[in-house]
Amino acid sequence: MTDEWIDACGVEDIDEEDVLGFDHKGQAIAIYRSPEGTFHATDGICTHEHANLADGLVVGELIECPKHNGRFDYKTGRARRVPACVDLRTYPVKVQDGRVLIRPSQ
Amino acid sequence: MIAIVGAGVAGLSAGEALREMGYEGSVMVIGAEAAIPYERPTLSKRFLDKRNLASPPALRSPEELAEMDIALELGVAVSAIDASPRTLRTTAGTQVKYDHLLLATGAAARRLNLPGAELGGIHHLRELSEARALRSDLRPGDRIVLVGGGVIGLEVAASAAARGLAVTVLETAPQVMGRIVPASFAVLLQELHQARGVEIRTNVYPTGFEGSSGRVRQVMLDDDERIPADVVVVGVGASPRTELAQRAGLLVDDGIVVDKFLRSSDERIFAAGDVARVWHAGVGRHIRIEQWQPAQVQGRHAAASMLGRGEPYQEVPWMWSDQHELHLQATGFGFAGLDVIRRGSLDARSGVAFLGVRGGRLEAACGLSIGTGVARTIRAAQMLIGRGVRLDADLSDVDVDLHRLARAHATSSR
Repeated sequence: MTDEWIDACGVEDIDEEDVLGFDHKGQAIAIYRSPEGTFHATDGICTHEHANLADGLVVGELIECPKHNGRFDYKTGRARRVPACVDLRTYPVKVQDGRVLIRPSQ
Repeated sequence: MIAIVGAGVAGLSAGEALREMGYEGSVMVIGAEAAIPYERPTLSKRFLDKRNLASPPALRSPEELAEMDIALELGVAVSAIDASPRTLRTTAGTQVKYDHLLLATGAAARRLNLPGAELGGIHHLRELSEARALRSDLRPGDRIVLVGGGVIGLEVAASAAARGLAVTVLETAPQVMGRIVPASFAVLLQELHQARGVEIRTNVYPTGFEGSSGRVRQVMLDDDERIPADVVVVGVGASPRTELAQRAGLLVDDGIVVDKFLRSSDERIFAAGDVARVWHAGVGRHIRIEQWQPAQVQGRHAAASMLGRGEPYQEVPWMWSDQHELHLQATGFGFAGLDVIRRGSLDARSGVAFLGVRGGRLEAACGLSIGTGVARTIRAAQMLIGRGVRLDADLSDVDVDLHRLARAHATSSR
């Protein structure tokens, strides 16, 4: 466990209202850019069945699981639509000099 | 009191949505199956090929439902509805007075009226009890014949192949999966199944079953060919469970007929999911959809309508399937009469997609990938279909990002 900030990607690597997958030492993380331009990060694998959330679509404040269309609020991690029932873990994010930094272990 | 008949995804989603929208009255969900509400799509997939899965995953646990103050009555059928006074009676003898009622009674596997159809070893698949019976009848090395090359038949075929059975699929149409996919896609899918040991035969007509000692041994075809079978699954579609609605005097026509707010011919009674023939505001006609995700959306729409906050149902249908290691998705209203554009390749992470176009507008899409790579294309296609915009871009070019196109057209609507 560290408290280090990790440089995940550049601000321009993610469209507004989109998601990018990031692998941190084998841990899948999903990084989101909201329609308002804010950045967020959650676990990258759906809590329902094994599916890579970075393959899903961001619609407003929600990330849709690519496999079964379960939905989560990517800002809070809250599961919002079946079949998703278990919340996603979220991670701190900050933007510095055009780079998106995340802290994978809180 | 809002009573919901049916504990599948339409019924439960309606119950949850009522609470999300702040409804404070009583909510009761009445389910005919005894099992706690579960994810039905797994019955032909994970539940069949993973013997260690004791039960299919729960949609919501009884504790979660209790927390939402949703009362659950399971293993109980509704025997009658009295529209005035608004009361329903259950087989357990309970009377429930309702303000609004949602019928989400689903559909039952269609039976074949053929000689020998009652023999042992012939299965249908819709409910957990049927899935358990089928699962215990799948023995490695045995021969299974799937009558019907729709989604259920192909999923069971893949699951049975994974369990080590010899698998044959019989389809009367020229292609599998019906009209929700184009012929070019069906051919690709058939080749992929065959490469994984599943034999698929199209344009064949089963005429009956023969057996010995009360158990099926072969499927007969109209040209007198006999196909050996130790176990058979009949997957030839489903019939909406409308008996209750009919007895209550509601308008029924291959499904409970409801308007764009999911309201039946009785203003206090709504229907959603497989049982509902709903007015789709996007295509401007009544359609009945037998898919999981649309059932969820309809349940939520019905809940909003009951609270006087209804919005017209116009979401474009979307479905997924898992067959072998292949993930399949389809959206739209079928490929009949459409020009088909193929894009991508199964070798690519984003998979291969088939887009159905008429007059420059997208009307249907389907695709395949190993993993979920095709999802972005199909989900974005669903948005573009709903928006009904003319597209000038070269859709066969995988670098044309459909999600970006959909966002660019977010403000236009049909």
